[in-house]
Amino acid sequence: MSHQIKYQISEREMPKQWYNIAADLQNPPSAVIHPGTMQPVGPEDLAPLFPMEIIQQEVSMERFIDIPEPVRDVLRQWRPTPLHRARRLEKALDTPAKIFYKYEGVSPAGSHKPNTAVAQAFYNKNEGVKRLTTETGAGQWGSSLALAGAMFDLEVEVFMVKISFNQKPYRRAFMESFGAKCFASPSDMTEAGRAILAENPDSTGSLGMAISEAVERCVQRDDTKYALGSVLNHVLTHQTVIGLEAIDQMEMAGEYPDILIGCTGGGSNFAGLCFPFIGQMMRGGDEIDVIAVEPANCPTLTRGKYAYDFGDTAQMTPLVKMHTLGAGFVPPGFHAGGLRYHGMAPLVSQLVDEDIVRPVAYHQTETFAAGVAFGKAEGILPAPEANHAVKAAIVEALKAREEGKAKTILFNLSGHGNFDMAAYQEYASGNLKDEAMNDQEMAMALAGLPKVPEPVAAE
Amino acid sequence: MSARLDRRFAMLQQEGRAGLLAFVTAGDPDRDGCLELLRGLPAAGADIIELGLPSKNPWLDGPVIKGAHQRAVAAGGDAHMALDLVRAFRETNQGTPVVAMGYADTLHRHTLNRFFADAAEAGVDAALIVDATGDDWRAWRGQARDHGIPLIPIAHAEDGELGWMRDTFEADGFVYAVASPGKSGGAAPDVAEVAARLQRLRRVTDLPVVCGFGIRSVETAGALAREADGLAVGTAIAERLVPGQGSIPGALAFVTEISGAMREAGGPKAT
Repeated sequence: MSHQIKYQISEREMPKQWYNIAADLQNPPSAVIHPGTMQPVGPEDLAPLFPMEIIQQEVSMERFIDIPEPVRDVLRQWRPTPLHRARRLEKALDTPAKIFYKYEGVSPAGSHKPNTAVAQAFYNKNEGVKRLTTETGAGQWGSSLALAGAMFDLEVEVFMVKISFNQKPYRRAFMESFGAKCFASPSDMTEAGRAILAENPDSTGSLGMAISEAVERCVQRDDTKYALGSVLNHVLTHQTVIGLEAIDQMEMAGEYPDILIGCTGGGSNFAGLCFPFIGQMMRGGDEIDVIAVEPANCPTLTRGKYAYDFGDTAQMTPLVKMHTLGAGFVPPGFHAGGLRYHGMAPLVSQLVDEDIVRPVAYHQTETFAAGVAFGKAEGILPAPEANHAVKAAIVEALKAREEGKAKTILFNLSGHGNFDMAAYQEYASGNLKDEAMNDQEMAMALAGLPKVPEPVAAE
Repeated sequence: MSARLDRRFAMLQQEGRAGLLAFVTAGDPDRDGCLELLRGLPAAGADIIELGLPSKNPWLDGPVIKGAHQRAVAAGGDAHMALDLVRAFRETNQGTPVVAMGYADTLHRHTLNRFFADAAEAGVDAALIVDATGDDWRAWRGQARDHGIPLIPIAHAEDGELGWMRDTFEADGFVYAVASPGKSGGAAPDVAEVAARLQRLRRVTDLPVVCGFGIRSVETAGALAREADGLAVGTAIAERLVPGQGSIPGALAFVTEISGAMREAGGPKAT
């Protein structure tokens, strides 16, 4: 088996616990602040939005959290996902590097997102919730929550960023097939949406706006809760099945990564793969160069500020300390919709701030070139978001070639691009452009950051 | 990094046109004739000079440039003479970049490390080794770079994005895109096909893209000028140097004609 491609573990070996990185951080995570009182939020503040079990996970300091059996039962429909050795890519690049990728595109929704959607749907159902509201950018999260809602018999309402809603009609069809309702955001169904439309009727939307709408719909009804597809601690924790499986699979392959790569929008697929490895490193394991890849047109980690900010445009969410471009920042419309978020998971931000994670940014067209090249070698066309990770993996493999070092690279191929053919078509026709960042707009959005008295460490 | 080369591409971009890279073989038709040609090229419209290092086995070249190599070798041409010519050229010209273009065996004969040192001293701005591949190329690039000479990567049509990424990674100078596969001076390329390929190549690299191999006619050059940062023309010049068939003024007149057509077409920014 010297030329093994896929390293598979059995359903029995699927993780029984999630990994919570908060237990291993040197510094405690920053407190989440209530914008009204400027005091750390308590469970009662979050109760209108989330079920209790999720709120407890959000603040948990336990290293491992049991995965409920009904959640594992659904995840087993496609998990464990395969770990691939990218032998054909290595050959094409003529690199001594060993390139591995964890392929999350085998899930029914085509990405890593169902890992947390299933868990969130389960906890909500368990606490008597009837309906979930959420936002979606590229549609991967909305599809995943629609799927999870169908599995646990919950109504699902999805506010989809308008530019993606128009670019990806099949994502909407997917969600509706699972019984979810899907609306283009900003919509006229909420105060937040109407206010945005009044100011700019042509708004293409943003994740921040869609979150505002979903949260507003949620707090209107007692039987409704809200589900977030990234950013929050519990979401990142749910995604760690990816990295926990990868640790076992890398062991099967007889390798350990020197370089770990994930793309970052809100941070969840990155965290899913990398946190379990970072945990090992922080507990005294081998050094790993951990790279977070973001779009140059939404450069949260590479150019944003590490500060308290709102998670949404209408400033309805609590304040979290994270890298942010300002809640009012609307990134230019590019195809990796899942990466168009002004903020970042606070846990990922903290790791970047502590120099444990190294952020890099690439432009859209170069990531598509990487994705197309990867597809030709490996046979999978990645989602535009995942193209960012592919690009970084190729760059690192070529660096290894320059240095003549047989580095081991592991990246998260977080989803396939089969719903993104409109984007690939645009790329092929040469119409895909790299829009310039509006630095002035970014500076203005950053100038509007809320003033938060410096904390106040979390207990 | 070669400042002269960078300045030239910056100037071309500012003027909104593609540059003409004129290829001549060092020592063709003989040493003095070649120097006269080199000195006349900038005024005739050449933006960059590609100086071929004479080879006894120019296996990637078609019959016309093969003939040029034979004439040069017969005239005592080798890497030493090529560098002598560059020194003589630099006495009167400091602005036009010179790219030394040769086969690995010619450079090996000179011993590679000394070649890059001597070339830098003589006033060469970049080197292109047409038959270099893989490990050799990487080792040579390091040596060339130590002397401030970019080793120009070659983008072959059949390699596609992955190969282009591989071969242009951390490169400097410019990228040489082979327009038509096969030997130099072959059939005219399918302009639409080459244009589409150059567009794909441009997404993989930020370096200027120069296209060569098969560009012999004023028409082809005019059409491709809108797609590349530079076009390399060699065979059409060499065939005007064949004794009894052409002359140095004739070759320079052709350079003026093709350069005029390219200037008229405008560069990649004009589309």
